[in-house]
Amino acid sequence: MPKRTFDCRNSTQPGIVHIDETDTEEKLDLPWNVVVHNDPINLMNYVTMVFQRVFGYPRQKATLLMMEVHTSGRSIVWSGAREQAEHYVHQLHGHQLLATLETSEP
Amino acid sequence: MTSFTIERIGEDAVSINGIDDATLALLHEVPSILHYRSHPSVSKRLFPDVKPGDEQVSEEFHEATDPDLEYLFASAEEILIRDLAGIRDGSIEIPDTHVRAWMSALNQARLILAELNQIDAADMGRGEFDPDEKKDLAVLKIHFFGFVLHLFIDL
Repeated sequence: MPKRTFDCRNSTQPGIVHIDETDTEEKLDLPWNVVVHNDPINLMNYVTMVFQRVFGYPRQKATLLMMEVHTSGRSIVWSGAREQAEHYVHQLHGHQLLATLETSEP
Repeated sequence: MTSFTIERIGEDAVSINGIDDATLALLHEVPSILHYRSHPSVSKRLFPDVKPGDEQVSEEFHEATDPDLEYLFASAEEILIRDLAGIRDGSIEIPDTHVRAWMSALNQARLILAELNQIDAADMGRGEFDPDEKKDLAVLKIHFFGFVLHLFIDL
């Protein structure tokens, strides 16, 4: 796995993380999934609001994903390139949601 | 008795009214609750591993993002403290830009109380409480802060 470095120091805005790649030969990643896990404390409408803010999802889609988190215990709320997935997880952590990353199975 | 309300004033400000003594006392507890952010179990919740089972990825992510999260959480706390000091006659007007800070601080407090008191879904679903029990009191506070958070979400 290539060495990756992150640097928040040059961030001009809270919540924005700059990621510098130190290895340009990184092969194409499998899609990275952003997973949100259920917790008994976060309000359901709070989670919906966060999905709308972070991903720009319309209310209906955000509500469906929130309900999946609530009923299934987790939901893949976004899939794609690693950098963007990391950015989203960082944003979700900023809103205190329990979010993790996982790679899609080939 | 005035009811506790949060409403928009134009596009740039929010008015919080009906803050009675009990409500004010609870809101003033938030900063002291937030001091527990560095408690080990709380820290694991507010700064979770990004990829459980992959220590390297999680560690790199912690190094990159934890300082930024700490700044975000601490900034929210500072804004809340300043605003609380400005409450007069049960009311305060805050700029719209402070709303996210209030929501962050209130939600942090809810999560911290839950971690410190090992509160689970069953505790959150209970309808009867003994305010003399530490855990029950924590659940009641979580519900109260949730009520205030709910008002902000509905703005």
